[in-house]
Amino acid sequence: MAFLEGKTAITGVGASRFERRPGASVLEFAGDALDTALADAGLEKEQIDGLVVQVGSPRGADYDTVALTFGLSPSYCGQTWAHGRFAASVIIQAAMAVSAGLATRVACLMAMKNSDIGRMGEADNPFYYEQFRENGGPHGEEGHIGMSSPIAGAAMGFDLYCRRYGFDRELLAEIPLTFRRHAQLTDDAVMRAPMTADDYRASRPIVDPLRLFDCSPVGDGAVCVIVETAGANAREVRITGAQGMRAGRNEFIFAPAGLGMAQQSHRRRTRAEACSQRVYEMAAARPEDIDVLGLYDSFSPLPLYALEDFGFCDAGEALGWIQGGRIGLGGDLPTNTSGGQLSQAQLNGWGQIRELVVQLRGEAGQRQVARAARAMWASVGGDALILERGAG
Amino acid sequence: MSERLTPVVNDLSRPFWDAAAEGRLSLPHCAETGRAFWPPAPTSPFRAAGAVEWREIEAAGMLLSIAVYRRAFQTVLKDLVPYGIALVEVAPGVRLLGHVENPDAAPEPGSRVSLCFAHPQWSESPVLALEQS
Repeated sequence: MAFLEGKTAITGVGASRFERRPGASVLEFAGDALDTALADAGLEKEQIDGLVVQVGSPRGADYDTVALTFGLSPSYCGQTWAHGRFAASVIIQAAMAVSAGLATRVACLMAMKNSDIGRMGEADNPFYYEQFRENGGPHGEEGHIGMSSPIAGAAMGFDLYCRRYGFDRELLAEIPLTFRRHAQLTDDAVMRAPMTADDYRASRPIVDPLRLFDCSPVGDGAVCVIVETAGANAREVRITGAQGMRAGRNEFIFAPAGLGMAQQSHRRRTRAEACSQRVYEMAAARPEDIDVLGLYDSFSPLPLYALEDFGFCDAGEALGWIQGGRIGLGGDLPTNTSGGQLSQAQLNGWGQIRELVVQLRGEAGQRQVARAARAMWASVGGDALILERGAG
Repeated sequence: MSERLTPVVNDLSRPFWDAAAEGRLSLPHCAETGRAFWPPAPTSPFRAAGAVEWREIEAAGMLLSIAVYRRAFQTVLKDLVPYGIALVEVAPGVRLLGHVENPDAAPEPGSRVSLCFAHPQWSESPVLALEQS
């Protein structure tokens, strides 16, 4: 059975400019995204009766501030924590609220500003104390031994991956180079300068084995998605499959389940298990049915794990499987076609979700994937959506 | 904002830190199955409402990976760069992170290593570290 019987849809998307400007206000970004999404859906702001915010204070705006500032009067509100991860989950919550009759038109908003708060792990960043969180930081940090930043867990996970499967780490270049080429076709991408393999190899080491160009750049901006009952709008995109975040001893935010990072087991998900996950069962789809893909890529190894965890290839294959243009525009599985977090903007994956909607509407211009009818959003932690072109 | 590298020490984790102050590695174990686990929990993650016992184990294990910091995220860590963070399996399925002072001279992953508790100036608490001669 399709997610909520296929009766909910994304009816509008909008975004602010993406930039890195410390003097800007996150509310200006939020307002631009909200206004463009409403116009896209053909709605007035008075018609919005639900609001779900992904990233609140201190780097985003909380739901109450958003409603106050923009004159919204929602009667159903929700908010997830101040990190990424819950992009699909926010849209799922909005769709469930619509389906349950708690709201009829829900604005899902991810607005954040990072250029004025330093890097996570640094003392002037509001998330500084998370590295000392009881039982470990949200990315495996242990600040008192010097593991102070999210990237260390991503670096260690990628080292374990290469050791376990015998890969040369230089193969990873395919991810940032491919997404940079996509960003060069994307007007609002923050990182559009050409990147060569030599540029990548020469980029500054941050935490071995990862380099500067394996990290998404600090980003400021906002994306807004409007969710309503399907049938409201000819350009709508139906939500047919959905799946939330996993957690537990077998999960690590920057490694696939079963890699053996932190307290994980060594048992990876089989291809059959990957392909029978809820998101596929709901949409009655398999990985080969996906025309265009969006993957969480705050660090460049992460898309590899999502490709394996969602059955596009077997566990331990992705770093080889992606080579030769397979995930680029014109390849078998165009992925992060607007540049992803690595090159378009670090907006916790919302740039990718907006791009999937644009692709399914056939409005992606020179990035358009021919005959794109079914799109998927997936992240290594399980957060996933399958979207399909509306009947209109 | 001050840069204090201070872990949470409370009733749940105090047995670890008390042992660490004496240079010993103590881990929570499921009283019923005898299995060690990490991080600390008030009840065993392997049994419903299962009792927990803290037991000392040998501070050694298999080195699995080292991530090497080439950039410091805090002023107090600046002079330590490059330093490493090691992932070490100290009991079946139980992995701890340790500081690596000299990653260039560290053994290869796959090696058996010893751990110790260091008392560097930059930390207010004992720091689990790879023993390097």
